[in-house]
Amino acid sequence: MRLNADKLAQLKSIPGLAGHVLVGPSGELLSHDAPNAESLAALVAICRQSSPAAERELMSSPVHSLAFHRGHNERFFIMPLGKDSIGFFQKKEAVGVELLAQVTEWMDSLGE
Amino acid sequence: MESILNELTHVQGLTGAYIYQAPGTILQNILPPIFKPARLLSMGKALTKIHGAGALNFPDLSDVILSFDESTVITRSIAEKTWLIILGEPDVNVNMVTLSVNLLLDDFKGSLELAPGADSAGFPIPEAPAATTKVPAPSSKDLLEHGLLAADLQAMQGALAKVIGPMAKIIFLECLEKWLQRNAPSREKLPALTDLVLREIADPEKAVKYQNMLEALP
Repeated sequence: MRLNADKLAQLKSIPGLAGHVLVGPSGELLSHDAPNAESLAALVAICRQSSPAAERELMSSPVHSLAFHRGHNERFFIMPLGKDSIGFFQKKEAVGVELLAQVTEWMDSLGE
Repeated sequence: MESILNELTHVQGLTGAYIYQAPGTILQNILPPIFKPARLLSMGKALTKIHGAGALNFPDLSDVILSFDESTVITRSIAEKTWLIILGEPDVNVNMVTLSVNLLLDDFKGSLELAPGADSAGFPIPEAPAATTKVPAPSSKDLLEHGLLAADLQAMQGALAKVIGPMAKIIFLECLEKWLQRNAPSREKLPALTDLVLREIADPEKAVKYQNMLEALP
């Protein structure tokens, strides 16, 4: 998925978001403003490849989001975006649920 | 250990939990019977791959949480190669669950140290090696960075990166770990590592390309 400059600017302006990686199906970086983006892209791709096994065994719908909880309220989220995936950091002071809702809203706006 | 797991079920919206140990053992399970052991093993393998990849990026990683329409799955490493996997409803209070796990963490660790080797799911637990003077096995990362085989291994990883891209680092480390579980590290055993890596390359053309690149290495 190619995002135009406006859409990327909207993503970056979400309060609570502290950097992102947009990753293609094979782990290729499509855009980013995060440190260690190559390594994060690999993580995103591994998650995207591995989560269907969990979905299958749970007889579940596709995963909405993956959250990596770290110390000091630091979190990294991954969400599917069509065939691609987006990974993003949560600012320490932000609320995860709110951030997820805002990113979901931004993702919905891509189809408009 | 079962009683410790049962303490978790006091959290509202929690379906159950199990303890998975790599490469494929269920140490304890308090999920409803619909979750068959084969299902839990397959899920455990996928979730611990995700957790392991996350830990490579974030050394301070605690939990990985997968959110589905129908459920929430929380994965936490509780000991070396051992993970607690918790299933709950979509709206389960994740903070409450992780707090409860934090409170029980020492109990889990103590219980794992004392575990007599019983496997409630009926899966074989590998026998402990005979008591000999133990030399700590090198980790896959140590071997890749400092060992006598470092140059060979780095070349193999570099070739893989040229074939499959940025996932090469994680996949190669996983293969290296599997290889170390089955082989004493030596140059003679490197073909076994190549086989493991080739199995991870889904595209046959890329697999051939990788093999050719390895053959061209000095």
